[in-house]
Amino acid sequence: MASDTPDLSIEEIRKQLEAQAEARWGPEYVEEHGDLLELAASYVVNVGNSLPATETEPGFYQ
Amino acid sequence: MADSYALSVAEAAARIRNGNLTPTAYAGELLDRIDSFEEDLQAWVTIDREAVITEARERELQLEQGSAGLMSGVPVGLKDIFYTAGMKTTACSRIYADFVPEYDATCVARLREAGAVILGKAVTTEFATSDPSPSRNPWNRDHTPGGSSSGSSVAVAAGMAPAALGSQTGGSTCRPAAYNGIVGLKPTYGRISRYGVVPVSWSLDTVGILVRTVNDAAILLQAMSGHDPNDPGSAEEAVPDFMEEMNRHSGPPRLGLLKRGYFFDRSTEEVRRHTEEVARRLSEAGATVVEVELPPSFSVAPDVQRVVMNVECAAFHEEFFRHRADEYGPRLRANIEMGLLIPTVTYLQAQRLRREFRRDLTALAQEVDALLMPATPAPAPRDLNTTGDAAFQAPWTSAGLPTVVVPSGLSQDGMPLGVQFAAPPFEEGQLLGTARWCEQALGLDLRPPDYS
Repeated sequence: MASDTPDLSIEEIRKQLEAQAEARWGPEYVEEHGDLLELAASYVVNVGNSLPATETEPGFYQ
Repeated sequence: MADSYALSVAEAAARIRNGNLTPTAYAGELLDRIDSFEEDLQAWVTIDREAVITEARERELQLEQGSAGLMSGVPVGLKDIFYTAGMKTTACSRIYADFVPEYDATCVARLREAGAVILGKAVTTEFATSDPSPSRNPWNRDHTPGGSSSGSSVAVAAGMAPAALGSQTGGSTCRPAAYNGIVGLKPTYGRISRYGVVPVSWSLDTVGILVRTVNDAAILLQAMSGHDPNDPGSAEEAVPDFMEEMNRHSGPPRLGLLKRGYFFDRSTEEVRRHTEEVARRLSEAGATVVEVELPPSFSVAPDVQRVVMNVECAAFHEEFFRHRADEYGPRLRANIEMGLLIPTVTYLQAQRLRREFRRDLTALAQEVDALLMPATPAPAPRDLNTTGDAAFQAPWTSAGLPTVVVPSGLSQDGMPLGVQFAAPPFEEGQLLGTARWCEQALGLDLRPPDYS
């Protein structure tokens, strides 16, 4: 069962990842690694949007 | 009588026990084949001929003294991520280029205890990830052999070793097995210790077995299985007699064909038709083939695997990477960088999702003797700049369920095709018994023409 939380936005996540990447490796990195950042954002969004509802998830505390 | 190089592990072990083959003659023949084919295939990093013959002589002495193990005198190749006391373990990387371990990995020690002779260290992609290695596919050198266990797979397919160890974090054992026309077993997560194995991702890494028959996979599994307190991921599950378990599952199996959704949608038309044809042949031979569907929780499994692998890989490499990033290959470097960027909460949620689809896939697998699917979306690509597509292995690695790939035919351009079976956790006996029945029903003996 899907979570009731609103869907994460891939654009929003990508901007967050770009900011982190720029802080670590500089603005050139962000320019040169657009595909990698897009892919990472898609993983974050897909995982975040696939969570089971906490109250119905068996074994959450296992 | 077949040349020794063509023997299975079981056949070779029997001949050695019966005195019809000596470990030194056998090892010598394999070393000669390595000398003949290595320039073509580039499967090996380190071969210490003198050490191999010395160990083979020790096995002969042990046999003369009446001490015979499960694999007495049988040579085994090791992917170059397994620690070997006194022998370089480079992970085919610049970072570990001069690393010489002081001890054997637990699984290597267990192989030696079973009588195996360590033949050498086989090529891996850098740190067992995705930058292609120089190894070539013996079926056609213009096609990738796959990875990351590329040298191990090539060595077994080309008759340079009867068995080799690989590892699987995504698809690194079962995918190259399929691409090279051999049997690949990824046991349940935790079944074989990873102590002394260079890690990619500790909650995914699984020791893999590359051989030419399903029976041989059981022999190596028996030799290496069992709890190891040195590996925090090692399972305390009892180790059965796998041959007995296989014999309990030796009749026509009930197979769950994963025809709708993920596996068929991602396959080429040729692979879809081939898998249906395999299912039909197995059904004609007496198997019951039913169509089953993946649970909804499976849909995120591939992304979960990438998140977990990249974050854990980044954690392992963080210290080296801070100072020596330029010494990493481009794909591994990208994986590490992605792992450093993915939020902690996403990693933890991915682990939470893994529990969910592991539970659901286990329930699905319990409905049948084994799930059946194509081993890869397509045969080995004609492209040496890739190790191919791990999409059909990664979800099972992430769920921790055991899988085995069995060769099932050739593509139109003469490259091997395979099918993959999956079973519930710690049911390798059932999995291998079922796979052996299917292997016998298909009745194939695929060998690369130029190396047979």
